[in-house]
Amino acid sequence: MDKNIYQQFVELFSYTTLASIVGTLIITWLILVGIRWAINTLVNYKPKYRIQLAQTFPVIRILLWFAAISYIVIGIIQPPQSVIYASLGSLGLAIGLASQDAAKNLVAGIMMAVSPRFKVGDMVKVGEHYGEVISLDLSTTKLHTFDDDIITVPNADILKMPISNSNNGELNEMVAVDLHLPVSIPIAKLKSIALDAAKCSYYVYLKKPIVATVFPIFQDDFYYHLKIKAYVLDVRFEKSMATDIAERVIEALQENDLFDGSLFANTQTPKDPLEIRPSI
Amino acid sequence: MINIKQSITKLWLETKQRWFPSKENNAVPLDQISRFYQTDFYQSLDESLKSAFYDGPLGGLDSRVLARKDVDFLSQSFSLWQHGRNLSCAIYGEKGTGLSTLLNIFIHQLKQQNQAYKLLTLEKRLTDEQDVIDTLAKAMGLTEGTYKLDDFIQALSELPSCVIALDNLHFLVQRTLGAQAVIDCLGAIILATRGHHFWLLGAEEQTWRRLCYGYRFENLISHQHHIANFTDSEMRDLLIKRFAYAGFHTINDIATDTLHSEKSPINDIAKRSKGCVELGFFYCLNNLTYGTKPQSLLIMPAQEIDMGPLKKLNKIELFTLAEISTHGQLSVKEHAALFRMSTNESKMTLEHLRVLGIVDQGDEFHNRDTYSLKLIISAVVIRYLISMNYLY
Repeated sequence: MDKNIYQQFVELFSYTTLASIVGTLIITWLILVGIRWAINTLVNYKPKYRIQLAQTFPVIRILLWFAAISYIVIGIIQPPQSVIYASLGSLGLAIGLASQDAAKNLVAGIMMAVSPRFKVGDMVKVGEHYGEVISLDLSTTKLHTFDDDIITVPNADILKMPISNSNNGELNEMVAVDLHLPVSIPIAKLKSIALDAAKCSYYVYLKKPIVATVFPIFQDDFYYHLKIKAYVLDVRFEKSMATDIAERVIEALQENDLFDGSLFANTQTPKDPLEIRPSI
Repeated sequence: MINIKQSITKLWLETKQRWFPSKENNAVPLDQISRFYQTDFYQSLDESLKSAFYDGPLGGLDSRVLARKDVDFLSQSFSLWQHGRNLSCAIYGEKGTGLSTLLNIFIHQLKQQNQAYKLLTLEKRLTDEQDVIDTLAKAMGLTEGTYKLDDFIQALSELPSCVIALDNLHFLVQRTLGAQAVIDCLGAIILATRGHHFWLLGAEEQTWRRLCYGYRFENLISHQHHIANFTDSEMRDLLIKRFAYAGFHTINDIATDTLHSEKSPINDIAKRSKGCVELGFFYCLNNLTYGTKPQSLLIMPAQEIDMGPLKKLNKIELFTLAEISTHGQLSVKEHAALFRMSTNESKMTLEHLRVLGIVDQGDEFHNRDTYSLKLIISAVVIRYLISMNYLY
């Protein structure tokens, strides 16, 4: 019986069948290359919609490969039922034993395409890595960090980890700028300068509100923790905006003789006195 | 091997040209548009054509003026205010849509009704609270430099009731510390006196958006009206009327009376100009030749504008254009403060944009140090900046 199935299996793969399979795979790949080119062209033409456009590709890719494989099996090979069952069993066993992690990543990739936790173009924090999602492949996700590194994370790991998504499909995102300043500065003046400085930054998306809060904190000595929350026009300008606002606040305080630049001159410097980080 | 590579490259280029023909080869360079009005070709045109295609209204000839829907809005708002409604009014629209013209028409109506009015055209950026008070005091015939906010509101309330029209609102926009105080001061004056005076404000669309997004300016103004761009048919009618006004009644062997069809050559120009009158005028003059019959013209198909230089701009240059469009104009000093760079660097950035033909420098009469968007392409540039997410 087993020999019979083996013979049936071998007979299915004539040269014509093999050529058709290879042809189908090449055509599918070419279609995907074409779609990716079209999406990239559209993104260059309308950068404002780059996140919406980019998120379509992972789904299209899965659907196309699924369609191609289905066509190869049902349309080209046309195996008898017994061969299908035997092949599926063997394939399952082989995949299960030989490539547990790869299969996990693949399944995770499909799950992420069906129910996305983030999209291409989103700014996400995965583990200790923070950056823009530049590609969502079937088995891995690639992040582009602000240090210009490309981080590749297996999809199975992403499903296990908590993910913080800063913009969730929108181009603008909230950025928090934290500054630690001496308590000698009047709070009302500090807040006023902080709000004004944020509005002065050309990276700020003014359609959404800007908030400034001041908290007194004690760490060896008292100091103020100024937090400015503003939306950046485009996630790619996140660091530029945060730096710009921080510099404008410090310059304005110096111009008003409220701050001489010697941060915590008489105290122990708290950890990370000028902290700029995205709001999560 | 090299021959094969060359053949493939040639085949690819031919295929690309066949299916995706490059528009930029036949397009009008941006800097050529700015130079057009100095060319020998323009100078050789009939005086009647030059005077017909100038950037002002042709009395009652233009359909937009005849439609009067924008004027009606102002008249109705004014009527409501006269009947005791505590309101203020703002009109805004894209550069070149006739904002100042509309204000002047309304003022003309007020004159005919013997209604008191003050037309205040801002000519410089207001820097602080005292500057706002002094500028308004001067315009209202009060003594400058003697009022604080409360006194000024009191003094303004004691003046005879009138219409106060404030134009060039882009001088209120500034991304410097203290900008909020300027808006707050003007806002307080408008809100405190709007029962007594009818406030009418005019702003370009990007300026208005910035004032609303950045300073919640819409809360000060009860009635707002957007002046729509010219539609294709309005633009077509306007251009045909201008040709007729210049004495040319036959275009491409078609009488101007019958040129209103969809297939007319003017229709193509109207579509390409995308609501910008100056661009429409440029297309008309740039593409015309005199016909063989007297008082006839031939209009060639309009060419696209080469947007290549815009696509090559860097981030700071694109932000510069966005800020110029909201500020109305930027001086080197303002640009340097806004972008936190040296004045030399700012000068270089602005001059680069000027050389590309995207911005104009002020002349000797209008502050040579300032740069503003070239009117003829401002609509095109603003749309590009919005699509690139530098403007919103």
